[in-house]
Amino acid sequence: MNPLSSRIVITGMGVATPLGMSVSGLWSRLLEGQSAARAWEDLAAEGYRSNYACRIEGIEHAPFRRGRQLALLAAESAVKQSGLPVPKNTGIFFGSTLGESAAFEFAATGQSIDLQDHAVRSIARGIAHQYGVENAPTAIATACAAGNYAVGMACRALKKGRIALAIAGGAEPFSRLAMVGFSRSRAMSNQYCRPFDVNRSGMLLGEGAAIFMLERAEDALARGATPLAEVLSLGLTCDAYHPVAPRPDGSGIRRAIETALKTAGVLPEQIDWVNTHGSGTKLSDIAEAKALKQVFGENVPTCSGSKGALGHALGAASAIELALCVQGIQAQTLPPTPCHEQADPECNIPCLSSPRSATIQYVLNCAFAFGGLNSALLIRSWNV
Amino acid sequence: MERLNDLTRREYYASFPFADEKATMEAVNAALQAILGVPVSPDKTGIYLISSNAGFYSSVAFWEEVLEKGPGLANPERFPWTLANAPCGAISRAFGITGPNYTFHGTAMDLPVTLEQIDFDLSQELISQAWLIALDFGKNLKENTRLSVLVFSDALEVNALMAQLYRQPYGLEGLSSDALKKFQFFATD
Repeated sequence: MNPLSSRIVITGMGVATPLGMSVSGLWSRLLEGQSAARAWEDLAAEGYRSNYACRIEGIEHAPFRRGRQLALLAAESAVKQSGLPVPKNTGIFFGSTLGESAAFEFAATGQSIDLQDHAVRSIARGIAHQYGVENAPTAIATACAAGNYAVGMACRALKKGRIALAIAGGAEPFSRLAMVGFSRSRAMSNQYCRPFDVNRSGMLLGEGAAIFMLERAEDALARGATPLAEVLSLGLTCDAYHPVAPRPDGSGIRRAIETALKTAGVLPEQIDWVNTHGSGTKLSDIAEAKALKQVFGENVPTCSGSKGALGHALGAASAIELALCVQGIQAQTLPPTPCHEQADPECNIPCLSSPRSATIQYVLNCAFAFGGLNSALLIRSWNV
Repeated sequence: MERLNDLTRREYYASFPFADEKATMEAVNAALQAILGVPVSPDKTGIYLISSNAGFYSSVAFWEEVLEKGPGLANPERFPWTLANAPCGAISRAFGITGPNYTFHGTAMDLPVTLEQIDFDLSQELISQAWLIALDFGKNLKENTRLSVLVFSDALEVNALMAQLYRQPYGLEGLSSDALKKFQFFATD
């Protein structure tokens, strides 16, 4: 058997989000159109221009270990759902932006702290330690696309046959550093995030984690597991254009999507749903819409986005959104785009405002990042 | 061994007296330009950057300014450099490279999995050339930055180096070859 021909499936997933600490809880609130966005008194007191954000309350964690705790909570659910013991040679592929942002803020006060022990790798190590994994974890620092990268890398390692099980995903604790940075960069909305809406004014910051258990389909089936979804391909490109702005014509995003489709041998007309990046910023939403129209022409599939509900969880965002994609396949339901009310004619994509039952087989999960990173992860229902 | 020497002929070391990522990248890109020239196929070139501390300096410096001036007055220009993937993005812009763009937070421990990814991307023809770049911005944010580069155009080259580098997957058991010396500035953890 050629190991590259193996099919890779998701058999467990878990999330930690401002709208729920389980996939089912998050999903039901998302279908209701709820948003976790609200004003925060502590941020107002600290002098933030915008004090709206999507944060998780009631999480206990060790000092400067919020990201790790969120990741562990998500991993616990994923491992439990998979029904698998975690062997020592499991591969861990984990993405985040900077890791424990609060540690870097603490260092700026002049106090001593080991930053290496609080960067992206430290969260991945926390997962490895929790489950007794001896393989060195892979820490992927590709900002807001990190979750897609992590799952894609896990699939490639499984296809190569080097590992039999992978834990993959992303986490990001709430970051005051990012809050100030995005606000000062004028990328932040002062109230709600409205993806592809004519009245959108920017992003909102979120936080959270999503973790997946991935294995070869033949292994999952042999142990009697039912795959939740199959991961087909990951398309990656870089705009090479600007430190923070997307390439305006959307060509980098288009190439990422086309790469994902071509690699999997899937045609554009087969795609049932695009989970958009949908950051709610003027430039990014327009570039994404242009790319979708370049790939799909007049027949852009139904689109949705969850950042109006969850904010932008940065390194966790694409992983959380992948969990929603998988749940949508499971439920055969397209989720709404919370806070999207009036479509921007300059975007002009079929962005769903309320949930809808549909036959969902092929789903694209798009995620982009500062630095010009574009990613498109293609998954499908297992029964295809 | 001859094959290995051939494929690593572009190995290079450089030191730069900066810790600030933005300032450092100007020197890094100049060095890469001198070593590698212009990529033949920018859209089929992938960059795979391993760094133990990209973004550290700018993150601390940015927050120092926030503490000094308040959240409403901090200069936003430094913020993009707080992201660990900013240096890799800067390389892509300097060379117009629009292929896959990876940043790993790690050390020599990450060489096997990084090479595995390069092997996959080359063998699947997602790229025709890979730039594997190790870039550390100095221990404790003050010492000199160090850079090394390997270029691969064929999955067989990657496999040859992987065979030299390690015998056990995801382990350091075999990491004793000359090739590893190029990455020896990374502290193992």
